[in-house]
Amino acid sequence: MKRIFQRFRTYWPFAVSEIQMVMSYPANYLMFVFGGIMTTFVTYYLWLAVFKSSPTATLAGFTLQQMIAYVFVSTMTSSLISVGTDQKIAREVRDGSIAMNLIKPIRYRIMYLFKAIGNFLHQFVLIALPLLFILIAVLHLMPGGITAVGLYVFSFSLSFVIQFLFDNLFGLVAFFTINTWGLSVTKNVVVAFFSGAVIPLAFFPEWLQRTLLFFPFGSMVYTPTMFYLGKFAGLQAAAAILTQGLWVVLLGILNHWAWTKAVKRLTILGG
Amino acid sequence: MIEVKHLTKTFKLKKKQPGLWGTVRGLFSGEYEAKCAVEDISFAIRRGEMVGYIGANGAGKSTTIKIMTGILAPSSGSCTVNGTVPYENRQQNARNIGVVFGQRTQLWWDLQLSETFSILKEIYNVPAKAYRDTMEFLDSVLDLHEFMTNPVRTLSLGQRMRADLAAALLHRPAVVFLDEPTIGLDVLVKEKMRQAIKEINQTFGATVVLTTHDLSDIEELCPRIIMIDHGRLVYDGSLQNIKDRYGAMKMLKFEVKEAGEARKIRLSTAGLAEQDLKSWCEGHSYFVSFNRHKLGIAEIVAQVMAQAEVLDISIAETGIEDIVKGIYRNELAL
Repeated sequence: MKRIFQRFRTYWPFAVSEIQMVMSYPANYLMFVFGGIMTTFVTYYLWLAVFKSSPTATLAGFTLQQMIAYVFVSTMTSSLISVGTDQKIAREVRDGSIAMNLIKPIRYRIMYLFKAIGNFLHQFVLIALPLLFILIAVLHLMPGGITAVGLYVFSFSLSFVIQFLFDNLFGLVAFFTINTWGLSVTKNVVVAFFSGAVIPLAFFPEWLQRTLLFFPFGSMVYTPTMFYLGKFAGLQAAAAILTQGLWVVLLGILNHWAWTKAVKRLTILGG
Repeated sequence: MIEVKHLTKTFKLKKKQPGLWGTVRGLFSGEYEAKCAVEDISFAIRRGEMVGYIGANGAGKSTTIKIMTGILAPSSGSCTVNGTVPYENRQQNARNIGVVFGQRTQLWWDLQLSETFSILKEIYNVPAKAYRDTMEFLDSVLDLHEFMTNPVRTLSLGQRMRADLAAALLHRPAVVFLDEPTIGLDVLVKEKMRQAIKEINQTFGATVVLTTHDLSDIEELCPRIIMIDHGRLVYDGSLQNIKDRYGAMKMLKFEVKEAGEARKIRLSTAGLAEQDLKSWCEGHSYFVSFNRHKLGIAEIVAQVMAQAEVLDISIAETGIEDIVKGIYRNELAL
């Protein structure tokens, strides 16, 4: 226990400094927060228009109220879990500043986990809380009740780890290709589309839904959001959590393997 | 403290043709060439020593330092630092060492400088008392309080280097690697950096390995030098020794009253090779460069005084710069 506490004290400053860093540039941060909330509202109005012009009251099993809740929760989830670890690692490899982290008595990946937690924390306070306030206090949209919120929190923590491990893996690609900008852009689009952050997976054809739910993408945004809506129950809920757990383990193993390979390849540029 | 045995590091580099077309072709060709950065280097450094590790750009200095700090693994050979193999136990090794890469910074760029130190305190688990003492000491030598609350990105180069040196020493490492810590600094800041390096060596007994292109750093700090060139060890020994062997040349400068007189001075050069005695004049000054093992100062002075009215005489020793320049250009065989 004491060791864990000691470990925590060693890495916690990385989370704090990440928060301090974004706070050093308040104007930039304000725009970032504004952009995040703006995206939610754009999507909200888009779906409003879709539902208004539709002859039926439900679309792919979603009522308008559920859809609104989906939009809020999914954008919130995807912004909370996407902290850009892959691009940060790639940048360090490209400009060689990774050397300055490798001379410290710390585990590189744990350091990045804490940085991700720091990013999560400030986004939670400044983006997620306002969105949750609007969703629950103003719009009174908590379709699944308090149990569903609890399940959401649990499922969310798994999806946070999945996205982190997934991004890490992409960051490690930089050890082989040095620059990963193109890859990152593609990855972000694919993830945004297939994770259910843009459109609920329920709108896709049946076969694609099944496939995506089995891939880590579905586990990232769609699964926790569906928990919030109370749409996963019984066997389906168990299967969803199991899939998430499986991906955590699988990506964890893959990461470990890739890291051992990558570090051997390391050539730091520039003298 | 540090032991390096037959260290070799080869990089695999993709062959690149020049120009845009070459770049495009490079995308499809799988041709690689092996570049040997370091070849069969061996040396040992004792606890508390200060060693200057010198060589021209691209000689392999940084590669060796990176292996000793655990960032790179060697292709063959071995290396231990304080009993630890750095590239196998990187984290354990990191606790024992402090590193400054002059070209990079380990400070938190967007935050106040003081934040960097409190973060490092936690990373290295420095106890509160030791932290206060070390900070006080570092502040007294490097004057950190002047910019302690400034964001790192606003620091001048000199301030940043001082802060970086302090950051590397906060956990009182047993071994300190300084890779060009004085690069681009003015004389005053350089002096401060040197003072700090000297003091950590004397106060904490830290072993110091210093690479630099400024040989006055070496002259002031390191009694021993290790010199490498094209990845190979060319000299390992005392600075004094190399000076004695290759620094036999001395230079005399005479200020002469009349410029015309200076031009007329002739020294008798009987039995001396050209490289042992050279003379030339610039305006009112008359220079003599000579080998002090072959010719006495008194004799030269007597000869010049007899031929012209001399106002002033100064003697300059050949600097280590001239020696190293010679070695880099293969003029002096070792």
